[in-house]
Amino acid sequence: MEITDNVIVCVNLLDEAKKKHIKIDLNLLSDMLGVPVVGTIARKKSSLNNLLDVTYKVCQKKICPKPKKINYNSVIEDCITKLEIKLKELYDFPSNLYRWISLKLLENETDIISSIEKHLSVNFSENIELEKMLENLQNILNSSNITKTNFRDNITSSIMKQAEEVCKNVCKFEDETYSNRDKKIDKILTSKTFGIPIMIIFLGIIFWITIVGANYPSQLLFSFFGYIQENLIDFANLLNCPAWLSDMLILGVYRTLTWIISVMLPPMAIFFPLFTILEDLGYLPRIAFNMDGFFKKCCCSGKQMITMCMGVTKWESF
Amino acid sequence: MRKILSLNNLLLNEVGYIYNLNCSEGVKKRLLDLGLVKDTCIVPVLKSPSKGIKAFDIRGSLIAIRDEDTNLISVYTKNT
Repeated sequence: MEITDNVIVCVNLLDEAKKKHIKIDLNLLSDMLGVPVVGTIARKKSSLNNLLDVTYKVCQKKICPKPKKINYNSVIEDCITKLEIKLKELYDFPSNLYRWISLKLLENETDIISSIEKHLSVNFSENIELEKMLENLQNILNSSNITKTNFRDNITSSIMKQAEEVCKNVCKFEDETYSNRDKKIDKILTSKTFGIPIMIIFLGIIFWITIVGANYPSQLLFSFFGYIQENLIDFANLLNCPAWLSDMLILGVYRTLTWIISVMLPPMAIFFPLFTILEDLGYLPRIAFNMDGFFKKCCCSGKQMITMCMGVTKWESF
Repeated sequence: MRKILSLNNLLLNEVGYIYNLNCSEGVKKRLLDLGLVKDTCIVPVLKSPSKGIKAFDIRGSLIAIRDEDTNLISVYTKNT
């Protein structure tokens, strides 16, 4: 929002918010940010049309967003204005970029500055006037206790404060008990005594369903592909295909491919939907949290537990 | 009365406020982006059974941070 005026804010997952009894005042949010706000539920197509509609309108300049600026600490704000004026004298950029570039120059973020220089084909370090001014401003900042190291902290906390203000006004939690219920469940799922046994039971059930349940469709697929194979061999004989060719194609390529499909596909088709349910319940991050200590010992993070589960099913299906 | 201690030493469900982040640049940037700016209220709520990691309530969201990082975050408590 500091770089361009053309911003649309999309608030997604409104259905989840409703479930948790969180009310979001989109109109007020739009007023406070100065840009159009669209609420969506990505699963519902109709709510996305609204977003497209607003996007078109912004593109056609029927709606002109005017993002509100963030107010930083007064000393920083002073420096930005001074630098902005200087930049306006020296360079010709799109009008809304001056403030942002000034901020980045003050922050001395070399990566961003070098990419700005590349894209706008300018070179700030060559300009002695600007360099002098920057040095001057940096001294001013230093004298009011804003050093290079805490400049970023200062900026982030200003942004955060403003965001908190917006959030306080826009969101309304109507049901406090909901988060309390979540907390209680979390406490059990990650407790010392129950956490790991519950995890083993959960994963055990899933693995059991996968292994046992996959057998039936596996066999079915196997006999189905076997039946086709017989026919293919007959067909090859009918064409008087040389034995080396038909053996290579049918017994080699075809059989290996179908073998893998019939062994791998059913467990995957069962396991992944079950895993998605766990993910939807929000249980996977809790598993990662529970297991992190063990995984840390081999320099991994607890998140690897999830990948490991997937690996186990693939391995066990053989 | 303010008492400054490292986040790691904050007891479960004890309310603390961020005082300083002494982490390396990368980690610090990430933590700032997650909202751990100065004076933010932070409460440890969960402890992992496998140790070495704790979950914190920050602005209503639950964020897990490892001990090696929480050691470097200093917080202050408000004694009543």
